[in-house]
Amino acid sequence: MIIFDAVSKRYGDGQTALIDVSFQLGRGEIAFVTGHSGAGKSTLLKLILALEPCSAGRVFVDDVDIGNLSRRKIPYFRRKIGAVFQDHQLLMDRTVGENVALPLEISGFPARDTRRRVRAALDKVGLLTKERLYPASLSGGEQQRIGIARAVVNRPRVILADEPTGNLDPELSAEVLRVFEQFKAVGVSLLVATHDTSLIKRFPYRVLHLDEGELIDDSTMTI
Amino acid sequence: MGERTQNSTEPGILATRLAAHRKDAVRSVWRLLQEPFSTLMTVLVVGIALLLPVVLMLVYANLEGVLAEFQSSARITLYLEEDTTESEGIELSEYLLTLADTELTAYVSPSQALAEFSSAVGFGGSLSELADNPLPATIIVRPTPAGMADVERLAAELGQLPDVELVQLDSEWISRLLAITGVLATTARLASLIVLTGLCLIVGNTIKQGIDNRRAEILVVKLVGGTAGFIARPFLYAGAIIGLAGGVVACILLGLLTLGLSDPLTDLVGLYGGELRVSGLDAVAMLGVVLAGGGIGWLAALVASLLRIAALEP
Ligand SMILES: Nc1ncnc2c1ncn2[C@@H]1O[C@H](COP(=O)(O)OP(=O)(O)OP(=O)(O)O)[C@@H](O)[C@H]1O
Ligand SMILES: [Mg+2]
Repeated sequence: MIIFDAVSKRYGDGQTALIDVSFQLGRGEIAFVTGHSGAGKSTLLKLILALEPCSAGRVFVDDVDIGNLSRRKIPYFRRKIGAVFQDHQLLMDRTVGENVALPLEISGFPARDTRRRVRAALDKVGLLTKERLYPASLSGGEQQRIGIARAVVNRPRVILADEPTGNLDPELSAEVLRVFEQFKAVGVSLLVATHDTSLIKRFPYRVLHLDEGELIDDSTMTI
Repeated sequence: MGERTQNSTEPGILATRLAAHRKDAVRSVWRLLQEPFSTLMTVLVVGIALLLPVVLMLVYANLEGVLAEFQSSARITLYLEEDTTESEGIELSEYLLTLADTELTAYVSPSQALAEFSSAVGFGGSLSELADNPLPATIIVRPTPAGMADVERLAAELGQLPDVELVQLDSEWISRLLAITGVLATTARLASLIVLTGLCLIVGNTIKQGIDNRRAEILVVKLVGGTAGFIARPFLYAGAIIGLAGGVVACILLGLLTLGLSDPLTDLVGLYGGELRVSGLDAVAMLGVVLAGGGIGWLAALVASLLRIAALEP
């Protein structure tokens, strides 16, 4: 459950990234966030992860006001969220399996359960055979899918995906969306930032359309 | 979510923690070995820095032993009034022996004193032919071993006795030595403090560099919810390992030092009538040095890493 209440974001250098954005995303709901490059899609996701503070308004995740989170609580808060980053954010000196295991390692999972979960997550994104390889030896699309496996491995309450299909062909993109749909089915809220219009056409979920930081359209695309 | 709660209540939680710690320890050893040269340099510097306070402590301990030895050789000489008869002198000597503060007393008559003196200076019998013996009778007192202050107080008391003309405490140089040792001890403590502070800065700086080298990795871990404590853990192991290794180096250097200095020092102290067995560190003390090194390394790493990690924000 995510609530944006009249949120604005202005970066330190004066760049305005979001202006008075309000919306609610319920449990088990998927929404695409679209808009031109620089419209504020990544910024919107960063606010939810508490990577950046809001300049105005409030953001709630599961009834937690992120603005009120103390520094100490932020790590624990982030563990409830599975995030896929536009620039992957992988550890290049650890194997694919170790990368995916990172969220579990952080929350102190037993080794045996970790292995099982990591393999299940890798299987979902079709990378089971690459578990022992290093990210650098994988293609851009494969690296993106490592990030997706890492985002879902901890069974988060909320999944935020920033251009998760940017490097994927239509077939794989649809595959990734189907993985997300499995989580939607168990009550996870998902926000997927993308400008892949063909994907939006194939999966008729709600669309939050940003333009110059303003939410100009909030609708279910029906084509 | 349910599974997580269930897992954390399992008895295996401790095993899981231990496994995670072992992994971090292995990881930090591995990283230290990746840069063998700089690791070796740091360990050597830490070892040398640890050596100084240990050496100062040892010197002080050994010196105290020597001083105790010297103190037990303190003598008080009582010069008796000229009109004191030999029987009075002996009586006084025996009385003094009954005091609690004295261990041994000896009456030396003027003629004995003259005989001793002339044989000591090598005049043979010629001096004993002097018609008038100029030497007074004396009582030599060996106090029970005690601090210099007590001995001095005893000497002053004995000076008040009616038959005693003059008291001489032949240990003023020991008092001076004691005073000098006191100054030395204070200096040593200050120097140790300064060196240990430097040690913390060395380890802290090494850890800070390690953190800066892994900046990208730390930011990723923060993104997925790693706490500062989790991120710091391998660095704390690194600090502790550097400290422990430095402690071992200090012990080895100390062993070499004691081996090399033992003989000349024993000779030196022998010249002043003392007896010295240069004592190095026993196994327990060595373990203490190594553990202290590890503890200091860990603490320095803790402060450095928490400050540094807090400053890194994704
Ligand atoms: N860290 C930052 N500091 C300053 N300005 C920033 C920062 N991040 C983003 N911006 C600015 O905020 C605006 C929105 O950026 P954002 O990254 O949210 O866009 P986006 O919709 O994700 O674009 P893209 O599709 O290219 O990823 C842009 O004008 C950008 O220049
Ligand atoms: Mg973006």
